[in-house]
Amino acid sequence: MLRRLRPALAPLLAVVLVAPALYVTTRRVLAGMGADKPFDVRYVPTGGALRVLSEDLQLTIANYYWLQTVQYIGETRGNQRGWDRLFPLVDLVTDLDPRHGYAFQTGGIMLSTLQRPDESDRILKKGIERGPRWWTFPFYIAFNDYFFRGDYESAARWAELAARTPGASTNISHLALSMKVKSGSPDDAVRFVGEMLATAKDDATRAALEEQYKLALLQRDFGRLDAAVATFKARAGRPPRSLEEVRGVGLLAAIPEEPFGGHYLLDAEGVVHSSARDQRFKPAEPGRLQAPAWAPPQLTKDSK
Amino acid sequence: VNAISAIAWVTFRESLRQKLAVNLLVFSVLLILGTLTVSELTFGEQYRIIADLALTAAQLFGTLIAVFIGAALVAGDVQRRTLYPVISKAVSRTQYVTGRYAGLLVTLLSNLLVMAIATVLILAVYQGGLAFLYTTPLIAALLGLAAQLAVVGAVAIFFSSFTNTTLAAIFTLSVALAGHFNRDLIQFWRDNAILRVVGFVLPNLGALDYKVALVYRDAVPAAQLGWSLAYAALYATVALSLAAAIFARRDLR
Repeated sequence: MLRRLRPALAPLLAVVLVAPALYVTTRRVLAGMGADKPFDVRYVPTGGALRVLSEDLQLTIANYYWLQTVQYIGETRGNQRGWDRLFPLVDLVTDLDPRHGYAFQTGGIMLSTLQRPDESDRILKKGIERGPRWWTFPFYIAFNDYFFRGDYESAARWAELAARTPGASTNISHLALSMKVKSGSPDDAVRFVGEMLATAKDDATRAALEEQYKLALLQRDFGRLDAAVATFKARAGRPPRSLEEVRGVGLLAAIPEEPFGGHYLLDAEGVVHSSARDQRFKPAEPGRLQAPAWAPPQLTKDSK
Repeated sequence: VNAISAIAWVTFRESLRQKLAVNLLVFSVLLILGTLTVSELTFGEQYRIIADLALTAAQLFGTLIAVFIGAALVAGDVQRRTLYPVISKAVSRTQYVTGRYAGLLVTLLSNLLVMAIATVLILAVYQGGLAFLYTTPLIAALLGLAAQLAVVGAVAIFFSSFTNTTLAAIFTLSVALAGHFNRDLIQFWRDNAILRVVGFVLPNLGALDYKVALVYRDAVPAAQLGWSLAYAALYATVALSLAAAIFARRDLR
């Protein structure tokens, strides 16, 4: 037995000796390739450069980049990496395959969730011009106008367009009308996002919309708490010491549950904050919300 | 006809023994079966990934098999000098080229049948039935793919008739690739007569590709499919006739 193994001993010894060095080298090589970094797409070609390909090859390349886009969106360390490639990726996929309605929709929602409403609008408007006739495209533009820009007039126009598109949910026309006649309130935002959440078809979209829904709840709660605190100040001539004090005098039925898992608190000036996500849309003028002045900390490359 | 069918049968049997072709077929089937797993990488619309990848795998590996077997048929026989005993008998060079092509065609269609079965199987697993055979143009897409392989095989035989195996494979691959570019190039070259002719000479493989229709479940009109198949048959006939003409005049000493 040993005699039969003898010819193999030298190569096996070589394997044993080389294997540790190979392991160390492999780790170095993988580190050099960025394998320990968040998933990223180094280079995204432009759709124009691939236009000479036949329609069928374009479809296959579009599907390849769509899978890349899904991995890019699904990277759990996405905030650490940044999201600069998302728009070019979705733009490329929809250039090569303009019938891929799901790419328009998912791209538009994700960019909106990442607080890039202008890029979101560009993708969704491209979908309206070149993609399939989906009512969700103008609907999400309406959301961007409403939620990020506070532009009710524009939001109402897009919502109307959505309502007129075949297959639209029956509630969309009601929302369009509501936005047209009202100056807008956080309650409308909650209902608006709630409507979109009800139409979500997959887990990724639902997760993105749930995040927006929580933001809408946050704005609604800020609005209610601000109003109660202002009434307290007017009556007592001083800011309240806590929200419990506001509740104690009957100006609040209950302190609402903070949607991001934190709690609401008051600072020395009597301004309401959230302990989990202190993010506000402040109205610049009555009936109109200003573009968010905050820079989302999780979207910068240096932040964790 | 007997000579042609005898050569075709030998060609088919030879190709079954070619390890490269068998390996390509095995890889293609594995890739097609793997599309179900790959499709899990997306959210929503898994069907589009399965349909596209499965057909692309069949197209890619089918084309490679057509190129590597086709390029080696005539040129390989000349290089190995196995051609002489055949054409010294009562077999014309045209019959020889036709028989070789017929055998290649049977091989390609057999391979495609295996890949088509794998595709139907994987789609049946995903869709939970065979209704997609009626609701999607899968049959039309597979017929289009068969036509593509027939054209590529004819081009391979054409190049194989006057050059060596390596060059024939390179030329055929280049033409097959260009065949997927040329629809838009013809439009770009609208004003240049010479380049426009080049565009028409290259095989229009994009016109035989119904992958987009399959992914979007668009119906393929029978007339359109008929014209495409007729185009492929005529193109292959011309390529094969040119191959026979060149090979008939070729000095094999």
